[in-house]
Amino acid sequence: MKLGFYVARRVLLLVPVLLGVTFITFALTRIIPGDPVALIAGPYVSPDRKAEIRRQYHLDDAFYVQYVDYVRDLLHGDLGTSLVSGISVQGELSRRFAATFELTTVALLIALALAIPLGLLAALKKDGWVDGAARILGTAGISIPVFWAGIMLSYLLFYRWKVAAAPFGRIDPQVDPPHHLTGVYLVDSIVTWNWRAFRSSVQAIWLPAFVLGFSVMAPVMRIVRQGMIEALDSAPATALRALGARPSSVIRHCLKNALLPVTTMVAIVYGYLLGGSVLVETIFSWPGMGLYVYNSISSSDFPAVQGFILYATTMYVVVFLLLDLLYLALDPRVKY
Amino acid sequence: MSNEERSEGAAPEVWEGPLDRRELLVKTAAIGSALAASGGLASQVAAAPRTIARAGRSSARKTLFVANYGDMQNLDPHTSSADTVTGDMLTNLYAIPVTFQVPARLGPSRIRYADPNKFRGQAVKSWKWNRNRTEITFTVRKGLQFPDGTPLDAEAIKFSLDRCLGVAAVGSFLFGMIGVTKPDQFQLLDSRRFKIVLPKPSSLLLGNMAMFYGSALLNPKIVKNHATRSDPHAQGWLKTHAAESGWYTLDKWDVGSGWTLAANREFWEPTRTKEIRFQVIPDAQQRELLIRSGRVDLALGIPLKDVARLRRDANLKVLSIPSRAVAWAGFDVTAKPFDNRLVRQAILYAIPYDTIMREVMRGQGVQLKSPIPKGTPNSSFRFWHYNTDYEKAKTLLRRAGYPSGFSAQLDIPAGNPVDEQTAAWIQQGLQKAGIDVSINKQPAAAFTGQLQAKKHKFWFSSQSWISINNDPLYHLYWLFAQDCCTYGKYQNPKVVSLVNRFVNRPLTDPARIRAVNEAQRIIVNDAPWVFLFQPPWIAVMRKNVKGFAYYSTDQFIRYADLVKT
Repeated sequence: MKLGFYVARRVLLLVPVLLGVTFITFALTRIIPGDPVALIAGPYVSPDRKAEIRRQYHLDDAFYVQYVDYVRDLLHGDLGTSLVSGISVQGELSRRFAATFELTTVALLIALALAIPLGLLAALKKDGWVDGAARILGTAGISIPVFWAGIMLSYLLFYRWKVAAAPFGRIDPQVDPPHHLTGVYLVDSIVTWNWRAFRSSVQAIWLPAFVLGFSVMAPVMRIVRQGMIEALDSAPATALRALGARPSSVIRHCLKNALLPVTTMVAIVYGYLLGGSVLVETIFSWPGMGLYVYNSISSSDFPAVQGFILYATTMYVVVFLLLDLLYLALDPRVKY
Repeated sequence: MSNEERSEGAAPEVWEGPLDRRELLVKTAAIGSALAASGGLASQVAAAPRTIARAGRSSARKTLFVANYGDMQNLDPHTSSADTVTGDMLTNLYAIPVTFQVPARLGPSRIRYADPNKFRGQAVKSWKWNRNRTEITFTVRKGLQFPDGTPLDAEAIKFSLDRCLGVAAVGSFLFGMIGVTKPDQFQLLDSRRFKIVLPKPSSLLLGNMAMFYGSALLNPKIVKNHATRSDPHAQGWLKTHAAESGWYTLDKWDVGSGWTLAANREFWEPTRTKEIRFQVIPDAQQRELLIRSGRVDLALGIPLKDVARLRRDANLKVLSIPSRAVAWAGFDVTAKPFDNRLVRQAILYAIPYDTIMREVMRGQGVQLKSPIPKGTPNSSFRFWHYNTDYEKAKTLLRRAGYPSGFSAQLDIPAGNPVDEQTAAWIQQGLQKAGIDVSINKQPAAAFTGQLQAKKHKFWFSSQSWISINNDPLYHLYWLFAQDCCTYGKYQNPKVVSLVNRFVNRPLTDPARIRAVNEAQRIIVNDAPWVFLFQPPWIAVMRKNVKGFAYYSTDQFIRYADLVKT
């Protein structure tokens, strides 16, 4: 019951947060130079027609009137229509979210699959060659620019050695996407037993996910290493060893403690990545959030930018709420 | 005189277009039986159609893959701002009444070049002017249909032309400049004939109509089905859907990823490739890898710097065609110090043109030396006298009252390497003349917004202008005599008067030619622009892609011409 109350309170707190965000983004998009009417209409349109477009999009209303209209539409679930493409922002965001969610999740799984064993090994072999190699790998992950890594790996693995798929985005253009259920191709293709689409989706995602995962692996690995070193040096670990526990048992107990801060770090990284990665999406033609918002900002597409920021804020809040609930399960000291 | 007559000299008053299918059969049969007696020739006549049919069948199974740099935007042909990607699609999705003739002979780079001043009917079969050239009557081809079977007749064409005026966008401006401003100037005579009534003769009509902006033919049944009281022209629906009439229909559009065009079975002209799949590949280097690997057949949006490298690949055909687009740096001629002609001339003398052509254009394209680009009739570079000369620039600055130079800000849109490199060379050149330039990179939308609001004082963007009507006064009309596009507020009364007086006169009129030359002389001398370059049009295709034709007027690709062998 207490937990239910806590969740309800957190969800209710989302309302003022989102209201604040809508107001700030709404104000900011109006301050940024660039007249959306000029972009919608183009240069070869009469002033009368421009005025008509301004009226049609309610851009001639006072700021507060526009804002109230915007919030009213939001309450009806309407995020507006892109000024540039004429496509519903909501539809576009949900489509893009599926693409970004799929890429980010696989990238994070790859990052964790690399970071946890490497961090663990580095802690166990502290200051040894494994530790050194892990540090070099971690530094490389942080310091190698994503666009360079993406292009080089694409050149080598796709063009030269032909072991990676062509950078066509989520699926090969000669393969039909799976029937839409969740929008996540890997899930939809499994559920509908569409193995051709599944194979193509796996081939399409592993390289961009690896590039993205590699870039976020380093901070996770460093925290695992640090957490494990501290846990291995702690009094309970010493006591376990003194009692004659097997090394694997000591490591298992220490890892549980070391992974708690990792959970926080993963949530931060996940929340950040769900906003989309412009560079990885650009290089691998991935139709995700990053590319969408980048193009929207470049073209002063107000509804699209506002919709995205609202989405990103909600994602962050939801991810952190889930993190807090996860802590409840992982850490017996946490009480609500 | 109309455009088609101008270009063909003593062309007949009535233009007869290609034959209808039925007429073709009847006439071929007649010719065939007449030639049958002469033996050999008959077999050649009969052989030709079989060859075409075979090629058509074998290519039908082949899909053309295209790597494009962006997605489509507003798909409404009458209101679209027509970025290159969308313009390409609209050209292929919508038929127009008249289009350009494409001679069969190959030109440079062994491709065909559409003649920008000779027209042929696409939806219409023929046209005829009245005696005083204020009315033109079009006869529509027999039996045309939209993909859903709706008749594409004179009534449907009038519907589209009326809509073009109704939405009051680019197309209505094009009609407006020749005096067509009201729907009753499009007169329906019967199901196959319609008439356009002009207030005075104009040589620009066919050229202005040969593009989707003003003349795309939309399926009236579909448009009416999606019209609402608040949106009587179905503009909202047509932004993301098509009411096609052209070579292709929009088969599938996965927004952000790509789209597929399928051949329109009802279209009356041959479509050599039955399906085209476009993929959005935002990164130029990935587009290069895809074309080199053979995963796509055509790659667009290839940067200038990559052309030389790609030309070394024996499997590729790299097209870098000199265009009629003009790229210039503009001044606000009403703002200090650019209101002083001597200052503007000094700046023109301080630009390192050769370096820009070598380092930025990579030896491609053409240096622009007149407001009218090379390739447009009556373009003349003989008035140009601004070869780089820093000492002369300093002298002119002293005469203008700026002996120590001055500081200025050059606005450019961010994110385009050609803009950034050109701006850097301009900065370096002007520094040598004593002018301190700071480069102000602006987000693309902000830059465009300020450009259209005429708020830049000194700016450059390589997003160049191309005149869709290959007519020198059409070109000057928009860039030097109309409020819409005189971004630097330069309107010399003499130039405006010459343009307005002669713009609708025939291209070959000696008085008009003299007016064009005089306007060029005045503009070059007034230096309202830093005349920079005519960038090339670039595309890379696999060697086995044949049939390409270049249309200098709009530079959009007619995919129906292409075939994979």
